[in-house]
Amino acid sequence: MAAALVALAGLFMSVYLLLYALGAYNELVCGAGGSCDYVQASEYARFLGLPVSGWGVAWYAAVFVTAMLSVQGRFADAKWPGRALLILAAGGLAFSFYLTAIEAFVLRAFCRWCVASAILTVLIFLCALPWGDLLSRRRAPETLEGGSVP
Amino acid sequence: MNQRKLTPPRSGERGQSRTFYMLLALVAAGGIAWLIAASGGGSQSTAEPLPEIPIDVEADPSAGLATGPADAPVTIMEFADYSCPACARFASFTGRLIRQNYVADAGPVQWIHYDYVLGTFPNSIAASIAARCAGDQGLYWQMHDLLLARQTRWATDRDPNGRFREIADDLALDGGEFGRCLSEQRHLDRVMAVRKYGDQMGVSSTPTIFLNGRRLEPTEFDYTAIEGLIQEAVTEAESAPEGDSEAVGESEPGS
Repeated sequence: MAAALVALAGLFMSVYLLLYALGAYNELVCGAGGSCDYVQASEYARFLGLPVSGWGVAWYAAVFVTAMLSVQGRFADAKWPGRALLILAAGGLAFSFYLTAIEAFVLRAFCRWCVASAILTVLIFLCALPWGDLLSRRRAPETLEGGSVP
Repeated sequence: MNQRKLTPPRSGERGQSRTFYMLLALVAAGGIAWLIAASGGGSQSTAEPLPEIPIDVEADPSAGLATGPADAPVTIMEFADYSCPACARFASFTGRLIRQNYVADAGPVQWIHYDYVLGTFPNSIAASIAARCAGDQGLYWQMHDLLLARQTRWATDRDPNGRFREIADDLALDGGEFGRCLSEQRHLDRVMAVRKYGDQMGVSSTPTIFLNGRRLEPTEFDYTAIEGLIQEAVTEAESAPEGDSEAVGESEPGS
């Protein structure tokens, strides 16, 4: 559930950055001392010919849809939505690490929106981890004992 | 003994799900409101007609802005329009790194910036003048970098000079002098001379880059490719007999 909420927030953020990249907004709200313009104008702001924010929109949308599917009753017993979410989250986390490394070591400037997106990606990854499975495995014997009937 | 797996308790699930959908709706509403509010900022330009290039303006290679040693073995000429997004991308990364690594500290490159006005953007001439006005106070390159980095803030703005004054304030320029320079359009003739020189050189799009007189292909516009070409040219110049080095760099632009 939390993954869907975080993904929705990230989706709006990416749409904002994409609209800026496409010229719909004249100005990127960045706060004093932010390096958003510099980072957004660099050649690393595009990936495979598309603005990175465009990839962000696609990724957050995919995470949102997958996370929503995983909370639907009809998929309650299915394992694939959780696994798909974990794979998506791991991919997003790796890409986010790459972008943050570019900011830190190549551009030597941080765009606040990019940092915020990296934080959201880490949160999504944490939400996608199978904590529930791990906990239920640990509690399994108690559940069985409590559920025994003569 | 019979064992039966108990299903997890379902009490409170419905309430939890209601809270979830309420939060989801809240985030969605907030996001939409924010995107709409953000689109209200900034104003589109009325795109005043560009001044005609005066007939008596001569093409002048020295009207470019040069940085780096005049006798450097490599001369890079960059024709760029301040309003062009590709120029901003090129300048803010590749151009900046080359100036930092190969021009600064008497490096092997002389970089000449030609503020070539394409004529398709409404505020390009004003931006070129603003950069040159900052140059009068010794901060041309700082203004050049900031103009390109903040291009989206002024490129279609109705009052670009107001935006340029903000940048001038950030650079701690003498605001009065800078404002007078802008309103008098002091360097318009130099900007037009660059435009004529660019036309003479066959420039029709920006950025256009020449390295020791050779026009680079757009595929060579990335940092690694240009760095390779610089190193090749430096090696060539070092192995060339004395006196040949004067063949490179066809212009001696002023700054």
